[in-house]
Amino acid sequence: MITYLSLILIVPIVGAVLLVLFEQMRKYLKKMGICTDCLNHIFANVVALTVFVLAIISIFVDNFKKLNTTDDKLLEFGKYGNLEAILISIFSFLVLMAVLFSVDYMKGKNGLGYYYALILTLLTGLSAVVMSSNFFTLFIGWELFALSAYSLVAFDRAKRGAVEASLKYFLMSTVGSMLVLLATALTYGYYGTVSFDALVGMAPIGKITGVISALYIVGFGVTAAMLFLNAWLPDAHSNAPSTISALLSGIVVKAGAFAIYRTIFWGFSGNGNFLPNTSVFISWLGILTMIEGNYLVFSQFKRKDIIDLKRILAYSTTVHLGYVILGIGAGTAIGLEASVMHIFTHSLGKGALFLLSGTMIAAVGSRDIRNMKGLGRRSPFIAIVLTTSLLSLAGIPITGGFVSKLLVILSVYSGNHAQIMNLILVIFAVINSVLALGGYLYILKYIVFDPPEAKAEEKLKIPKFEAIPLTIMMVIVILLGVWPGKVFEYIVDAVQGLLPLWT
Amino acid sequence: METIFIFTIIAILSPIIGAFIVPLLKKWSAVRDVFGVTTIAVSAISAVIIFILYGGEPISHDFAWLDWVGSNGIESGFYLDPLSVLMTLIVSVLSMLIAFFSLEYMAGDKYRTRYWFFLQLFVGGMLLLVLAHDMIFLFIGWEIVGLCSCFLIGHFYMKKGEEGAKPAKSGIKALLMTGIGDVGFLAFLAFAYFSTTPHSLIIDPTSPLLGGSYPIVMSILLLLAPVSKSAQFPLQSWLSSGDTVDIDAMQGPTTVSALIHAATMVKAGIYLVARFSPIWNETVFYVLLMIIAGVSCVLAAIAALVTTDLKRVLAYSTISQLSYMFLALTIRDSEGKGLFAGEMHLFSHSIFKALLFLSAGAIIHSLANERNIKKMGGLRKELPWVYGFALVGVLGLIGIPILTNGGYSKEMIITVAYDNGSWFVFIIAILTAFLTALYATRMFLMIFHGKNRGAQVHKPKYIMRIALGILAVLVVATGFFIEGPLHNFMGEHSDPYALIRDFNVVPFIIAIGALLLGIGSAFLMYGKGQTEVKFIETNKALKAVRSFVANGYYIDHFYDYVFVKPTFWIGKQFSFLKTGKINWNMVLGSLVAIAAIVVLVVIV
Repeated sequence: MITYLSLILIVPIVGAVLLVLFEQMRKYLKKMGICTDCLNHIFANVVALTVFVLAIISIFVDNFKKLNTTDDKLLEFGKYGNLEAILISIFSFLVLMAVLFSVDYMKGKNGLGYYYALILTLLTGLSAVVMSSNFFTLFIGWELFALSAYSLVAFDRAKRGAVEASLKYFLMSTVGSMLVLLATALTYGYYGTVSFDALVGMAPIGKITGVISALYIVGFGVTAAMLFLNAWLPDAHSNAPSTISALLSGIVVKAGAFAIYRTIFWGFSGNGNFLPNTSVFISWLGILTMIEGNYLVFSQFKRKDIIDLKRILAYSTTVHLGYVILGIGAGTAIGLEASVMHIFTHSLGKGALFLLSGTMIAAVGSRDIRNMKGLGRRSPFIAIVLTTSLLSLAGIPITGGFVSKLLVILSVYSGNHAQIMNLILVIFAVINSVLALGGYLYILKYIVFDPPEAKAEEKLKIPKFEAIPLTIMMVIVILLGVWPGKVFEYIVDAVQGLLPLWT
Repeated sequence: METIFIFTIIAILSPIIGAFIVPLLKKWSAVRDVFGVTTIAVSAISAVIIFILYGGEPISHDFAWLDWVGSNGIESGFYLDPLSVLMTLIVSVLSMLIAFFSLEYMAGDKYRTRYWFFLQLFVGGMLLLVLAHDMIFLFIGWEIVGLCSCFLIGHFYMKKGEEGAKPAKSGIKALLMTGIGDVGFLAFLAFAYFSTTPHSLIIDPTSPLLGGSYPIVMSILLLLAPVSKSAQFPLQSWLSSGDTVDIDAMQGPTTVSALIHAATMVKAGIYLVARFSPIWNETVFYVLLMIIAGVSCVLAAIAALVTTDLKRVLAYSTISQLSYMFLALTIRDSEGKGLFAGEMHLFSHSIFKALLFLSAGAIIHSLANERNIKKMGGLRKELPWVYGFALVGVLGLIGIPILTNGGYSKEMIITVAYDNGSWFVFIIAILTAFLTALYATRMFLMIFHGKNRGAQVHKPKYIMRIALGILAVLVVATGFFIEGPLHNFMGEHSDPYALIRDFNVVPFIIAIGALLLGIGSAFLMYGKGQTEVKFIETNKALKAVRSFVANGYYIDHFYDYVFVKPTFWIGKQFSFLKTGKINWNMVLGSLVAIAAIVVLVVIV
């Protein structure tokens, strides 16, 4: 089964190499009468689809899951259970949607091959992070996706803002990576191993364990957009191409959350009080992040110069990262279920919103939400997608967001902490959810309810390849809201299998 | 699965599925409109069948909808007991009548597809709410109706200028303010789930009492839900704000106000309290509810006396009557008479308030969207039909005994309060009965009597008259039902006609006195077609009070200063931390890092 699982990593990386090759051979291909861009579009889509199919199949077929076999060579590098399969499916699904969206969105841009190649290396890196079985391979995957992400943010390199944002992201994230590397070195020095399976049962070695896990949490927290570590996030999200913003917000930051999960549950769960205490810390970090994100959303609406839609969505991402971290911080099976579900619904909802923002920005030629007034009237499609995804993010029923929000609240209440602590966390979480709803309704008011500018009354036409992925995502969001049971079964299975490891 | 649950599922799913089909029928507008009514009618017919099939014993059908423990332990489902069967009947039949009414009322509107979509979705959500056996389905229905309410209030946002801006703002305001209650309920739901063993969210009168470590916090969280949805005192302004603010649920089409903001959705709060009544017994909850309901009962009735907008009079009256039901529910006697009286008032109020709102709709439609009652007057000659129907509705609202259903249920509440010695409830009830008679008569006289003060009239057609007529008949007919058959159906008491046996002459006389006093003083003040009252015009203090009330008790201004502006202000202060300068961000980030290291080293 090693062959099969390695395909998940090999297919995208080989695809990326080939795409770069196509781009390099543009002249020769032209002579042969082949349209390089079309080739790139088609090939990238096929590769993304392949990875998605591989990941999905591995969810359903038990043979492909290797969690506890000791004689498998793969275990030295990675572990692959239901949880990993589900996360990689979510990641590759969003990549597929973004790539499909790019067919119209990136039409005619220079360097398409490089763009797709970087997206595929991003996916490879994310899969490696998820599949890794020790902190060192995790770090390698981490650097792989981070480097792709820096370059993708600066893809419009003619724009000054994009380069600045990319540099800022690079600087901050590199510091985070260095902390992770330092922590890995310390772990190896003190524990003699960096493998999760070996670390999971070990007792803490005095105060140094606290330092190591703090270094990990802060290092991963930069990517997971935790409190004050997220300064790179709004710039990067608003200046990147919209497809890349969708990927950043939908999956890249989730990898940070996943790595934090690995740290506190696999790396240093220890015995005794350490795990409950770290989870309290994580939970409060989540709550503070939510508060910060929510108020920063509101601060955007009163800005005089530009009310940047993508910046608002970026801050809203930090709020949702707060939910994901809260679920992880609950320290229970249902908490992890809630986090995975929230990663899924948020990547659908926010991914769709960022993709849609690409369409809207192309239509009005500006990121300012004041110029987008009344776009919903010019195109009912925009109105429907926007409303559905905003409602999903706000957690209103018949959308998937409701299910995950419900689970997060349930898990926080049943968290692994003192009863009064759980109660306070729940109350903070629901207050933040009202604040978030306020922010979303503000966006809704601008884009759907407000009348458009006098000169822009004509109908908008949405390109086909932009409409298809958005439609697919909205259908899934609604289906998840109406009938979450089936999808949820697999998540529960995945998490139940992990239970004995940390109770 | 028993046959009756097949009809239950049909009743819920028919409008929901219909809602998603309606956009496909966009091109054939007549088919679309009829289709919209048909799916709701299917619900109504199913509801009637459920009512007939229903045997009297509570039954439920559960299945795993979302299973987060991996052992089929958690179940959601549908539950039929007399209360939910009755609610299903009210909701679906009223929805059908109002959908039928809107065939004519909304005929000139360009965006009817959206209207039908949300109207059908609303009916489905409301039926899900009343038929839910567990808190998750109840909550889903709860949120769906809130959502539909938001978009239906904002239905006219496409209009130009101010006329379009107000509905949009109103819809958002409604969703946001009821959102406060939603999250309260969500937090309570988590508590309820983990405080039962085995963990369950089923709401069943037979299940043990809920209780936990923090009864006061939980009571407040649960209280947020009915208070926001049923628009009680601190959160009432989404349903009806001051005349000068004018951003409230009444910006929607009148049919929507009739269905959602009078007959069904705002009753969800009452229904919730009634549902939780057997399993939630914290005194603090009921005392708080009694105080809130008592305050909003009187305040809303006074506001209804002052406002000059026809729909807003009815909206304030709705708030006041909802508080009336809450007051009845807080009387917790051993036989459940308070509960029963509250439920009966819910039943009769749904019918007569729907009639009143639809009459208002007919009037507004005839007067080309004029809503100011000061500009009406003398309409009894031009609109004799509406005059008759509205009279029935007004009599129901005032609560004329024997004749109307409102009379029976209101008497019941007053009697129960008197018998149980709940003096607070009794005094508020009598005071409100007086105020209700006063404002209802004032409204009626100002619209139909005196001289026409400059409104142009064109008469409504048959569809409106049919719907109004059916409702008017129901107002009169169901009064007797409350006394006899419904009483038996609800099964709260073993012997029929318990009311007559329990008849107590003292509260009856006091209530009649209050009604007559109210009607009489209204005739004195407004009988000759006056629009203002002389002694208020001449008295400065009273004028100040009137302007205070007309501003909606400044509650919206208060929220603006206390919640909205500070939120933006804090946001602005936060944004100073986000200068975009990398040094500064690194400093902040290091602070977090150091804090993390310190905290984690300490807790090892």
